[in-house]
Amino acid sequence: MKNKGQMFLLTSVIIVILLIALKISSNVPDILEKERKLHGDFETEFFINSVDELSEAIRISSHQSNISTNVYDYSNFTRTKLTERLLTFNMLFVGINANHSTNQMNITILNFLNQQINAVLTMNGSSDSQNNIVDQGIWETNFSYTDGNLYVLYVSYDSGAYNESITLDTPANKNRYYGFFDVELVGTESTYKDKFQKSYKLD
Amino acid sequence: MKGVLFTLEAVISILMVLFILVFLFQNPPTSPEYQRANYKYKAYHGLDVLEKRGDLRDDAVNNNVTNIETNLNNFIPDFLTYEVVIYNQTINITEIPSTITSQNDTVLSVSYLIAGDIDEYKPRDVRIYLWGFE
Repeated sequence: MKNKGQMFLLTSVIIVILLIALKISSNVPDILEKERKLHGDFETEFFINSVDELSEAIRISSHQSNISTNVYDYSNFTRTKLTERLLTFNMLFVGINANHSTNQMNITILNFLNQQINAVLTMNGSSDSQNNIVDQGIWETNFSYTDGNLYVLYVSYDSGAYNESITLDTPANKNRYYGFFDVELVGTESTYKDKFQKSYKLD
Repeated sequence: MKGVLFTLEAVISILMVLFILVFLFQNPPTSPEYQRANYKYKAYHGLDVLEKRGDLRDDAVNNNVTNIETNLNNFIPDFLTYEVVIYNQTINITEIPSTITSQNDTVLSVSYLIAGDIDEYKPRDVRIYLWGFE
């Protein structure tokens, strides 16, 4: 009891050590969670950038004759760049170039699904057209159409396990390019998916 | 005299505990890895803002790294050093500064992809290299 003052000091030192230990132990999960969230946000932003630019590649090419070639080239570019960052890029792309003067729809399917697929196309109940497409492969085919009418293109693979319908409202006397994207990015934190269709005016 | 010493020691003890409490809880928890991820995010955000403002595509397609670096000034903390390098499908088309390759320090990089500009299809990977972390 003689050293009451020193007892205060000793107690406060013990309290300080306990506080530091408590702070460190409580911080670790918090920091890890914040880091994980930040990485996830970053991957999401990069995914949005990649997908936006895929669509931009079509818009930029819409005054040229080689739209699908550019989309194929850009898809390869995207996959290479994402792979460099340990991200996996999977995509099924269907491009439809509707030319009203020839009454032909040139359809291009790009397979970036990391597997070979047997794709089947059907347009408004017409007979099926099908083809095996390897990964990073292209399949091009044609369907006849009359401009000013509504068409539905059915796309399937894996014996119908994957099925999508693409509605094509073709304007009269105008050329149009339709792009259907089904994209997936597998990141270190999670998987991001997007599926959308866009139509582009052509000259 | 004993009373004064006793009081003094008690006051020091209380101050010690108070000081450590303020010191420990004044800032949110962080780590060097988190800080670096945050700088990467800021650099990426800078490129995104430039693109949305219409200040990136033309410079990226024309390999104008000086303009891009100047425009990024407001987005990257002053104490960090950064360089922009532009890549096409296969290789870098602007020079990778030797400071990057010879750095012993941690060098981080962020990429922003560009398909081209207006009617010009020219895929570009605009990459910022960052180093000089505290």
